[in-house]
Amino acid sequence: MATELEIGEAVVKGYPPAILYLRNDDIVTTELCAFNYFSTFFKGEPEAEAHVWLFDGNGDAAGYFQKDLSLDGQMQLNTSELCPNISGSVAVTLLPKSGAKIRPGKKITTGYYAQYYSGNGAITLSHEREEVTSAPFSTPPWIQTYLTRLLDQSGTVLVNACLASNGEATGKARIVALDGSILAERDLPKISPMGARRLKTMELFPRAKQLVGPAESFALELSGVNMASPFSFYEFPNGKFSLHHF
Amino acid sequence: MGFSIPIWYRAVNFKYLRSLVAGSLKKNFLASMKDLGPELFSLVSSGFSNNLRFKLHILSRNGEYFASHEVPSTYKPGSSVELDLTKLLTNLALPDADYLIIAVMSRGRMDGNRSSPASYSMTYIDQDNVAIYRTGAFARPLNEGRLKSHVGFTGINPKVIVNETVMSGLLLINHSSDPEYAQAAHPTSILIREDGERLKGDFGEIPPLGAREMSISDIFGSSVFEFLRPFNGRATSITTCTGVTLASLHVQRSNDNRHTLLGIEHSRPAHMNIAGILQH
Repeated sequence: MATELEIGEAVVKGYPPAILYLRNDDIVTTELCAFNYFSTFFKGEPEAEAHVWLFDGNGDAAGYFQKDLSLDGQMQLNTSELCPNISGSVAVTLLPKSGAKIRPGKKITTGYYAQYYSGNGAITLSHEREEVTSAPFSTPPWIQTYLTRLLDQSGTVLVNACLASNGEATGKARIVALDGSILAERDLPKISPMGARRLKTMELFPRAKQLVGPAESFALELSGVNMASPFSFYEFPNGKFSLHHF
Repeated sequence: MGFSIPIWYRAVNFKYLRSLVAGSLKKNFLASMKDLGPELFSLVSSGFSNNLRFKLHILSRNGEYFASHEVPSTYKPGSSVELDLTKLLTNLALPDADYLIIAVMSRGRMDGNRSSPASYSMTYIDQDNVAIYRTGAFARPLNEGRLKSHVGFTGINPKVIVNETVMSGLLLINHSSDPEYAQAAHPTSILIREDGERLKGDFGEIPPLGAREMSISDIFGSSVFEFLRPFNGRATSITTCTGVTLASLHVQRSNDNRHTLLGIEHSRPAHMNIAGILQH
């Protein structure tokens, strides 16, 4: 049986966990899915262990889970059973149990997926995003289009992937026309290390409809420090939630 | 379909050139020139412009070519192209059907990323749901024998659900950077449940430049419901195909007559996650 692993230890070992958004509330629940792919690509019958760290929106630790994965082992973890009513971030590492030396200068990140279940049977999917880091990093400008007719339902999710105590995520949001002209700009709310925020477009830019006007689409551009690549989302009054990374 | 060009994108800069040269030195010089030649020619002939152009080719799921559409503008960094593909198909007088659309950009990133500078964004809207999906474009030879031979494809999907309301599926695309590509693909799949028991299935043939979507019950038969019932309908599928590379999408659909697309995501190439490990 695997022993508990601190998230910082996983980073030091060269197996930094990969991060995703976590949402467990009355509307959405998050399931994590992983497979022991070492058994497909390694010789022999390599066993692995999965470690899962869960954080609330302020970046405070909210849960931890571990599972041994034997040959062809898999994990489908309903995080709402571990952390009901907690939304924030989740980080996962798959670690081979033995015999895995890392090439000099390399890091091994983990491939896994999340399924977000929401109202009326909707499911939205995401593969893992960037690795968790122990040092602050810059987030380049990420830009993504949205449909204006769904502006009221649209928004972005920002996740802080930095463990450092001084790793607060800060940055700027811009609402941009399709021709690249900047319609408005504002500072993003600060996000604590390993925390996350879900922000509606209308919350970021209350005048978004006037700014976008009759155009069928618009874009949001987000940049700053310590943010993983953002997610866009649409959330509908009937509880359906659809999300994807930029 | 949308594509936003990041404000930082430049057709060429020092870091990019350094990466191109470093990559070429690792390979056979002639092979590198065959690979990079068209890109470098395009770069010079455009006057090193940072602007991008887009063209779409519409094919049937069997890989049969129907039409092309050139987007009538160039796009600078910071701008976005957005197209309503349903309207486009109507304008091209193509009937309601499932298609494949190949989006071609005037330039990609030929450095270490060998991809596009950002992701294409798809928004699938029907009466019941909105599903969004993003993926980068390939800027590298795919299934093009004179430039690149592939060991094969392995796609792992640990998100399989088979129950009364949801039916997972796989959509595989036998893509190529060679318009003359003529090799059909014949993938096979296994379905593994948590206790290690497995089923084997034939994915069926994917025509060259075509695509095929198969539900889990299409691949493994209707007994899959009973097979997975003790495991809450959950499982992992592993699909393999020797000698070709395939684009791989995982889909969740409603298990009813409407087959509503609930969610869609591409496979992650899991072998990339172990590339840095020394095996004994």
